[in-house]
Amino acid sequence: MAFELVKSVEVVGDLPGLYLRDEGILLVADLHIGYEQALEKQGIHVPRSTYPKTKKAMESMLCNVNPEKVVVLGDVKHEFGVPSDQEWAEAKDLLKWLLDLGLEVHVVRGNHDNYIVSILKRYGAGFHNQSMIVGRYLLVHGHEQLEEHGNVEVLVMGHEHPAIALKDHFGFKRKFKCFLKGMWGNLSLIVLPALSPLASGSTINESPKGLLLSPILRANVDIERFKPVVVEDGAGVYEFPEIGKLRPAATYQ
Amino acid sequence: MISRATKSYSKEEVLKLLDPIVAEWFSRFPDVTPPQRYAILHIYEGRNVLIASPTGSGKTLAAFISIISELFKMARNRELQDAVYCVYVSPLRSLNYDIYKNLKRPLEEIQELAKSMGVEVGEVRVAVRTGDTTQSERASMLRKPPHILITTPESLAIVLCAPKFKQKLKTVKWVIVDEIHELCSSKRGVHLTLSLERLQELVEKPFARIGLSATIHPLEAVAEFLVGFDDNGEARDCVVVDTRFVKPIELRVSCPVGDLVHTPAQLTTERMYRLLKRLIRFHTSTLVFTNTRSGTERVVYHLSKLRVVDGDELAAHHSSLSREIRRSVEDRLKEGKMKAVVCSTSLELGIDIGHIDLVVQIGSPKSISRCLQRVGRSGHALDRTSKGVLIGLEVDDLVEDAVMVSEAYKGRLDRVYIPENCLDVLAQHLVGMALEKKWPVKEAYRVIRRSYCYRNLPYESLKSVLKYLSGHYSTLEVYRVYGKIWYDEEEGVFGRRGALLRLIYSTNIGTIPDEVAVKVFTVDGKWVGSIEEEFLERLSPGDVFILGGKPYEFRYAVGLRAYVAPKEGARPTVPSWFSEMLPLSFDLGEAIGSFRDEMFKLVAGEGKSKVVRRLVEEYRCDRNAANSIYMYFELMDSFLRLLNVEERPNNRVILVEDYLDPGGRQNIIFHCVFGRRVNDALSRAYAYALMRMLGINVAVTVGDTGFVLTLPHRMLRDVGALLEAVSAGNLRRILKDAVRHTEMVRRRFRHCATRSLMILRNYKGREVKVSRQMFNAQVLMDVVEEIDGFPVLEETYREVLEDLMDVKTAESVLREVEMGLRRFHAMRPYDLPSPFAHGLVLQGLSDVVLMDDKRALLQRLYDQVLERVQSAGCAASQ
Repeated sequence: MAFELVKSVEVVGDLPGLYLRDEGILLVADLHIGYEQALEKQGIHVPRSTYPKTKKAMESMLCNVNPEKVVVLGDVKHEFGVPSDQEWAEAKDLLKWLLDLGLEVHVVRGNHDNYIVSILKRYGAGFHNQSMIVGRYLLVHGHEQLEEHGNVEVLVMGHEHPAIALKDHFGFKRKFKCFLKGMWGNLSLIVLPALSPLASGSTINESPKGLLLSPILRANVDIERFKPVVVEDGAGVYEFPEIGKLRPAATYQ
Repeated sequence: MISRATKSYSKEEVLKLLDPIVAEWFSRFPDVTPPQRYAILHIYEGRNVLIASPTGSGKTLAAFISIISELFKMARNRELQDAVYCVYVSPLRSLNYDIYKNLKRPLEEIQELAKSMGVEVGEVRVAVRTGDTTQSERASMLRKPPHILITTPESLAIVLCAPKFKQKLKTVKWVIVDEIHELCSSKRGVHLTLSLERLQELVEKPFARIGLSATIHPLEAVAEFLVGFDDNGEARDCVVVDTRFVKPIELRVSCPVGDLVHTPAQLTTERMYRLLKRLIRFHTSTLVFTNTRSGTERVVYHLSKLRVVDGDELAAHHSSLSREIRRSVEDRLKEGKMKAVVCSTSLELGIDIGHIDLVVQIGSPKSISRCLQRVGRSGHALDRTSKGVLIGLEVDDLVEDAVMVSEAYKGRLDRVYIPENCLDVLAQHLVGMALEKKWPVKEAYRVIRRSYCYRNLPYESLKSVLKYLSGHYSTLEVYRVYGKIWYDEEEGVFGRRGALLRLIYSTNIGTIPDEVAVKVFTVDGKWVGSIEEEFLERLSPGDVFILGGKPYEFRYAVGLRAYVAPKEGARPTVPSWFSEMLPLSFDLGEAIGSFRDEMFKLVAGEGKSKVVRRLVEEYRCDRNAANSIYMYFELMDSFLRLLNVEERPNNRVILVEDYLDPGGRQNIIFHCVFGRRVNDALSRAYAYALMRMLGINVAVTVGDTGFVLTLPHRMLRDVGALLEAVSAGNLRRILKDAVRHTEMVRRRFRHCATRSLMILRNYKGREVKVSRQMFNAQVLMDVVEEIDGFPVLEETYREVLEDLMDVKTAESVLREVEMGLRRFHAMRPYDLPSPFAHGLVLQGLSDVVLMDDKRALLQRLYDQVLERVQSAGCAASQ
């Protein structure tokens, strides 16, 4: 049974993807293709493995919900600058694969996505510089503050790579990727976890509000009232109590 | 073959071997020392020699004198070329400069002597080359190479790849390896063995290897480590000079109070300082070992508060202090200006520290060899007695000290552990070798297997490392770009690739991982100690953890500083897998096991006075120490009698307690004095088995005298079933699963990945921050976990299981249980821990073995959070 975050918005299986049922859209965020090559440039040798994993996760999501469109909420690729060989090859492969499956593909631009327009154009995929509005949804990456938008009900973003840290009865801490669900003004706000297996996430319940990545979360929202929804491949989906209740029992903040 | 030097030579006989001028200089010494009597002839004859002898017994000169003599002979005959003849390697940079000074002076004196005798002799040059050597110094070294090169293992590995300088090494006739007892148990030593074999490939004729070691055991293994094996797999010849026990030694075990078990800690501490004050006052110069840096700071603080000596006659010495401060303390010690110096472990090795007449050890040195090494720092001259007092502040320490002293008097030593088949060190050398030339893999294999540490290396392992280095583990289309070396698997050859490789190699060489210590301060700014960055990541504000034996509450962190508040008497709320303490050696642990056996028999059969007398006479305890030990065993004995337990914990019986603590947690306590390395392995294996039985996270507490498995509430009814779940046959497999997702493995993976040049510490001339290395390691590990047999990960598990833990001994312990040589005895549940368990129970958790069923783990964490949130909600509404 699909887990519904808000009306007609479902978590896809136990994977970091979202299905907008009324629009037939599969949403994912933060693929960070080419991350390994970026590491290589810093002198770290990483055998290639994330792209096949990302593709596999996409595949099971597609089988699960059978969407008409796929929208990537930014950071398809990792490098800020000119795409590397790996980025080119893998980004092209991904697009081609999705398009060959007969899907409509859109990318909302993320802060890592410079230079990607040409690839998208060549393959006939949609590119949205700041945001994309579909029906009652406003889709953004999340690295920039937003203007008011009329006529939408749900804001969906990526960028933050949210996760929460949980402790067992012995005090042992473990981190889990999660969705965040809360309000932005009178809109519902949903933050997607990163699809990239290499991005382990920032622990929302241990970061002070001021240290959150996204200006959207830093400014106009009450992060304490957001609920994390943990997704763990093969382990299910769990909606946790509000962030404010998951803060470590601290004397200092 | 390894043989022992049996014949001792007189001064006259030794002098006859030397060049007349050198002999003249050498005859100024009143007499030759024992290592010199046995070793000089063998070195003169060009044999491989291992000298094991205490500090200050003249072993360095024993090694150098015939070499100096030979070099002078050559200089006189104008045969001395501009090339290196002797390489001296030591792990300590500070020692290098000392050796340099100690060589320079005799060389000058001999030179002058020759001049005064009207003999024209060319100069014999000596120089130091380390990471500190400047570009211009290196350039001048190339123009005029030293005849004797003093260096470190890392710099040696670099010069082996320096295209020009390595030509100057072709003439090497002797290699001296100093502090080999320190090197052989670490990856630095492993690294050095391969450098020596590569040097062997380079030189024209085989060179002689001379190893210098302090007290160590077994000498045969250390000798093989030094000399390696020939191409046919036979150990090369080596003569062992064993003068380990030439220096008279006097050891005593002391306790500040008459009954350590019942005396409050504060009083014990007060009395300890009183005792220390007396000892310092009664001696000219005292060296105190505390085992930990925080301990050192504490002791110095109290001693200065007590005004035991003048402020400038007292100092601390530990590795966190700046090099200048340490250097100045060492110099003042040497000049006899210090009344007392307190150190963690930092003055255990190396440089001559002058006239110390007493060594005090607070706590336990944890191994017999280390005890002798430390105490050997006193009684400077060879005929002077080394005097050591071991002060125990906890009963387990007292017992360790007593047994250690008695074993030392019997001439028994604990065995050294030498790591083998380290794939990360191998990877580094393969890159170095690739820089030299194109290698057939078979030929490289021949060279590598000559090292003691790789004599059993499977060919497949070598191939997998080559595959990793050449990028073959990446997907096929991109691997060409990323390989560090070029490797043709079909042809069986490998070689260099890429212009950057040499720079990468020389800036990333070495086996000591970068560590960033997070400094810990109290909120009002007092320094407490340091923790690892990985540990800080695990802390949340409000967590209580143990540092330097005391509990602190974590408040907040700013960059690499953590702020805490002392939390006297609080129990730690987070497991801390790190320990500042060195592990107890297994051999000493076994001796403690039989001591326990002896004591329980005595306590049961004899009166107190007789037992105390035995402790005083046999174990060199003072009355306080003997009394405290007696009380400890007596108390344990009564406790077990109360519970109708007939068995006593000793070297054959592993007593297993089932203790329910006030928090309702169930603690399964194993009493086995195997040392932390073995107990670490056993505890995690049993914890994993328990986790599997019950489907819940299990916490472990690891100590030298046993271990504890903790469950959140009473869940295990049948301890017997748990004991059966682990065997010698399945231990290794279980253990690998048990440690898979631990911080310890992640941390070690980072170390292995940096040694394997997978994560670079320095790239294109830029330092890569440790935090960056850590982050990258995390990412990397997730990736490579899915690659079967990936050598860097394999090495990580090997290092954790074999070096950090001691899985081999743990296996043999379990095998002995299976053969009936040891047995478990499970006790019934009880709500008090036995006296022997107190230390372990108070220590705080070491780590948690996590459920490997992700779904169940998440479900449980979820339930727990809900429970907490709901109960908080109830409390708020009331």
